[in-house]
Amino acid sequence: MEASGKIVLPGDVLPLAADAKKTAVVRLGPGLLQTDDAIRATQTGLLLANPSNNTWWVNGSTKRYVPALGEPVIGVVVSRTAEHYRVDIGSANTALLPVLAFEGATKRNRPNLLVGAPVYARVTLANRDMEPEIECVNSSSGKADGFGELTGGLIAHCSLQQCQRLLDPDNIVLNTIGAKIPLDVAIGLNGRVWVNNEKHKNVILVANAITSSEFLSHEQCQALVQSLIAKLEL
Amino acid sequence: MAATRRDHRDAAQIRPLEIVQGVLHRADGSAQFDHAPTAVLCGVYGPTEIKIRDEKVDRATLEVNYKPAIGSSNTKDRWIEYSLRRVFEGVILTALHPSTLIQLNLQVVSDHGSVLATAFNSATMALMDAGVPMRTVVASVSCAIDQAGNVLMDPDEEEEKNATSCHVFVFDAEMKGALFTDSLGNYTPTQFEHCYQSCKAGAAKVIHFMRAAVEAKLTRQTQQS
Repeated sequence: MEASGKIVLPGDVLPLAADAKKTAVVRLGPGLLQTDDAIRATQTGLLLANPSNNTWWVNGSTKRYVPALGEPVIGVVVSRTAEHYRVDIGSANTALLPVLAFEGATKRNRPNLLVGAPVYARVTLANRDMEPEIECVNSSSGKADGFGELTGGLIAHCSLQQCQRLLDPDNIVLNTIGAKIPLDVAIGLNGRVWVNNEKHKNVILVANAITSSEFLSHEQCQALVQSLIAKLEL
Repeated sequence: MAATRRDHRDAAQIRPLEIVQGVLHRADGSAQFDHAPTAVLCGVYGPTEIKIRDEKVDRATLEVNYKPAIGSSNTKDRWIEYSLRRVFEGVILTALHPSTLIQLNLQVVSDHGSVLATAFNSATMALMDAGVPMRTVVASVSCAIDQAGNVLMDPDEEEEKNATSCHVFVFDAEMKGALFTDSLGNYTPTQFEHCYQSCKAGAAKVIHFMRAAVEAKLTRQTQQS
């Protein structure tokens, strides 16, 4: 991944059109749209490119989730029927979670989720004209892969970009906390992060660190986490 | 020679602009836009769930709620809602989010003239903050023609009251033509043309300012990634 370092606004023309060869294939990601005469940005953000396969996309800032295939999300059960749970994942429409999309679930052996239960799931159907569908099981292996109901803990809300950053194994906030406090964390790409620890005060510390570190630099993040931990140990 | 205005501006001078994005933390996107002292706050929610009654199967529905600074909204405010909706229905790529609702809530914080233009600018900044896909950025500037025939850019409430005609123009980033005009009063085609050109130059400045504001915000936001 390589940042072209350019901030684009909706309607800005992509600079690649002029120098790219006519035969070269250009792949467009989120935030870009081909119009009659050019390729234009549709969102504000940083224009990024992967030169190896000529892929371009815009990394903007959003809070509202639009489901995309295969993404992990954290949802809350809002209603249940015989075959499905209806789960709020923060998108325009609630998602359908089939009762049989759990590890080891059969017609006889159904999972029992109550209304209000938080679940960690993967998006299996994301189509703008249809309701999204999610699952808590890897349908090829039949294993949960860490998905399922989330018991205990706390759900913190942040922007979608912050969630993506938290997924990075080198993420400064989670690494600095993780070195001091053992943690269970589930990161949904829909702007929700679930954290759990034996002590409530540790859970609150992590949630605070995540929500308040969004606009900070690496050094500021480190300082923030260390000051929070220092207060905890007093 | 430019007429001396109440606030000692030149005839072609716009009032000082100020933009704050992300002021409302519960909204999906928000912004306050000032043509100081006029200020409009805008919150964007969406794409969210829609009532079946309002659903459009091929595109998103846009809802605009405009609240004046004082009192409840009247017919004039409904006209402002209608104007905003008409412009932004063309600007937002509604086909990308069918059967959903995009809601624009505008609240006038302080009303000292040129409210419609400020509302347009505020809505653009809030939509950008929310990441709603748009064809282009829009900017709006208004002007008034006073009794002596001078074109006063970005008039305050006193200038609007004493004007023979008031004009609002909305332009996109390409500046090929106006997306919207609203004129009130008596004026000649030559005067209108003059207003059009002045507002076009003004809108270019507003867009330039918007770009600077977005760049400042994003550099702060992306310092971790």
